[in-house]
Amino acid sequence: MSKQQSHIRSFQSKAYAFAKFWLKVIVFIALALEFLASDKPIVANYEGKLYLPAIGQELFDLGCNKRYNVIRRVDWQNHQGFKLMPLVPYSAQSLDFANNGFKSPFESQRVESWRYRHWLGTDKLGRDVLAGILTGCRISLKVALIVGFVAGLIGLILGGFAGYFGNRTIKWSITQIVLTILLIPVTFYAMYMLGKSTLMVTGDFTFKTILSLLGIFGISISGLWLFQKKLSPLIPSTRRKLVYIPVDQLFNMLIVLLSALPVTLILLAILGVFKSPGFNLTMLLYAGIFWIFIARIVRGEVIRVKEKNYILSARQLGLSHWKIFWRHIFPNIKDQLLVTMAMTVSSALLLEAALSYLGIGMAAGEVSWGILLNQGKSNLNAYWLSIFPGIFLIATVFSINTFAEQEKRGA
Amino acid sequence: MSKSIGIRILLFIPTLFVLSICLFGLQESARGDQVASLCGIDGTVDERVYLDCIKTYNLDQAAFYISVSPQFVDAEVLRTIFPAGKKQTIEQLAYQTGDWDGTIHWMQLMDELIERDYSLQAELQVQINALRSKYWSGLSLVGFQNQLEQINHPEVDVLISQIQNLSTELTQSSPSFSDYLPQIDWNGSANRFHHWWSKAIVFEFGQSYSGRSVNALIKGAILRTLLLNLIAFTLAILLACSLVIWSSRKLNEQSRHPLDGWSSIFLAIPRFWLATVLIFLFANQARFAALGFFDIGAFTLTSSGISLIGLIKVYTLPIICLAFPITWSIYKHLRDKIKAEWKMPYVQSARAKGIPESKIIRQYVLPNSINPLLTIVGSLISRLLAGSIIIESIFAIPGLGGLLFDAFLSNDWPVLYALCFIAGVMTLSGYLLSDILYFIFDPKLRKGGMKYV
Repeated sequence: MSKQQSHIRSFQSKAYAFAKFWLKVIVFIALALEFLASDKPIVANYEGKLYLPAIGQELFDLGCNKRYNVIRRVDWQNHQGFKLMPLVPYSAQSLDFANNGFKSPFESQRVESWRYRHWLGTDKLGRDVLAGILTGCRISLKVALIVGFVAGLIGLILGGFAGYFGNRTIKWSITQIVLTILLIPVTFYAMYMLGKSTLMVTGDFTFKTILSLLGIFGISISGLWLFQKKLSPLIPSTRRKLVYIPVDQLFNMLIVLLSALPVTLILLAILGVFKSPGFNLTMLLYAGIFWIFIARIVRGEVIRVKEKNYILSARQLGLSHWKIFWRHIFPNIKDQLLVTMAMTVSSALLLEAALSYLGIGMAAGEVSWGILLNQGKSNLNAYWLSIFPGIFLIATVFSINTFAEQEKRGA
Repeated sequence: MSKSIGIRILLFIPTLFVLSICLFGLQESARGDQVASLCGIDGTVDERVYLDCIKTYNLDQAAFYISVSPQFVDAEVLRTIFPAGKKQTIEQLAYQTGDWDGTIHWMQLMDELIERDYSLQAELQVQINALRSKYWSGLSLVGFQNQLEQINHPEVDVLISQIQNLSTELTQSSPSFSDYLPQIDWNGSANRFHHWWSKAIVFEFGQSYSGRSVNALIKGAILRTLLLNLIAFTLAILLACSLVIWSSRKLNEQSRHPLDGWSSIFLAIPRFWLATVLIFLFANQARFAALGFFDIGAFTLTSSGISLIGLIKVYTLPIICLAFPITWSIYKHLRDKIKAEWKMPYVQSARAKGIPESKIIRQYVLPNSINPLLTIVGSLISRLLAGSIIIESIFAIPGLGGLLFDAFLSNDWPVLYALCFIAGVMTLSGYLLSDILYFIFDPKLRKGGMKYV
């Protein structure tokens, strides 16, 4: 091994170590946000009693902590008794009127002590940038969890289905096919009518409506299943001629259709329909598009694994498809699935940042790295609004990519 | 072989059809009032003007070849009711009562009440105005009952008692289960989707909400985007190839190169962040007078014609931002591929012959590795469009990306969905073309059967 090579190898292992460390830091910040950046103290003494305002207030807002009504309007910054402020004594939304109008991290700030200094500067309204960045970690973790899990689940189910059954496993009779094709529009019409009439009569959706919509869907799916499994063998005409259902080909057509447009364009086209898409809805939309990247990989992996001898022998032993998939195929594609999910999450983070940067998709009042960067775009001289959130974003995406690559190499 | 190609072409048409149904459906359900945006009218306009407008833009026709509605709604009548809030009120009433004739009768009475001339009675006028604003904003029947009871005037007493009687009659009825059974109509070619699709297939997209035709808008923007992206893409490919040749020149002794690590860092840098930093450093005359050489904004033709300096000033930074991520992703792809190819027997035999390694890389390995890269050429145009959305809106370049972004922000749906349609058609035909080329050039596929991938 030459000298240079060992140096480079150490770069790679250093990058991997950094990635693991950075991801841990991000998750830690996201979970412990209230203890790190909040305008309320972690522990405080108010009129002889000890309170935990930083997290207690959240619980009060949720309605399960009545005791904190007393301290709701306390001005903690000028509070004289005992208090332990978080590391950054500002929350992402708290306005500091003494330091508004883009205070640089390096210029003198009008603060009581170094404890209240804005270490990474402020924005136009005097909001602390560091607090915003730390809050952005939580948003990023939410993005990663929602998109990763939902897209991973859809991708696993559809990709697994297409890869496992292929084009020549499932056989249906003509009657079954016709009934299924008829059932799809009927179900959709029933769901549409139920939704629309509730909307028209009561004025809005309730949880009950959503439950009954799911109920209709469930009834039609289970009716289909009942017909396929139990009733159709009893009808003699259904056994006469069987046709292969090309599951894989249908899947591929869906993929071709969805990949006809790049992700950004699909998102813009769908977001045009909603009046005010919230954060969660936007994330579900992301997941509804990003699953194709996962499903493709899962399909390929399942096809690779299902040719193995142990699967053949499992089939010979008479194991059910369900058991073969979960016991024998899933453990073998798990690592690859995780790697793909990580890659998907990193591109979702980049896309979220890009769209927030353009001012699309995030509701007013939310804080994410992209929104901080958006402020930096309109005020170029306040470079701290662009540089520091950008470094966090780049480091996170780099860490996820490095982590995924290393896992892929190991897998 | 011709059979396989034929099947692909046959599959291409339904895919395109489904894509355009999806896009048209999204355009139809996009937020905002379509009639108001197209004709520039609001609720106060005369009914004849409104009817003329919807006739001009075929909005009185059904949306699709088949229309499905419950028994108690006559969609054809519903489409001619305006403004949008009143339409919503009527539809709501029909869903609540399940009685279409009664609903229409109620609407006629309400219209009569509202359209009378009350200029002599100021108090009554105010009350009627309040009623109209409720009636035109989609409120339920109960809201009107309270409002109607407050109006107490000899001139309208008869009419109001009629409306109230009808309302009580209507509230007692509700749709039965059989009313919800679908009523399916075949509309023939007189539907909006047919008009849209038959024009869109020859790239004719009608009028945008801003008043100009969509085609003119696209024609004014397309050249700039294409030029920008072509330069960026060529630059990226050339740069990536030369970098990979340079970093692989000693592949035998060292399988890793510092650039590999750096490329994964560079890949994590988003375009928009790079653009912000570059603008801050190099287009910032006020802060860094020595560095601030570049300009932001559209390059316009001056009286002296095109000046090269002006072009460079405007387009250098966007090209760098567009090319940067492409360069590193191609670099990474090529590098991985070359490392895999290096173990192949043909490389070993070439080395055994004594051919210099740099020549092996250039003439043997690189052409073999670059092949899969060509598959992305199919979706290149739509990818470029997506990439230039961010860059063009940051650098204020009036290209296709900027056009699309502005269309999204100003709710100009015909432009947005026309661009989506063009991108989709380009991608799908790119896939088709690359499939056909594969069939023609790849002997393995030529012999075997087809698999739709």
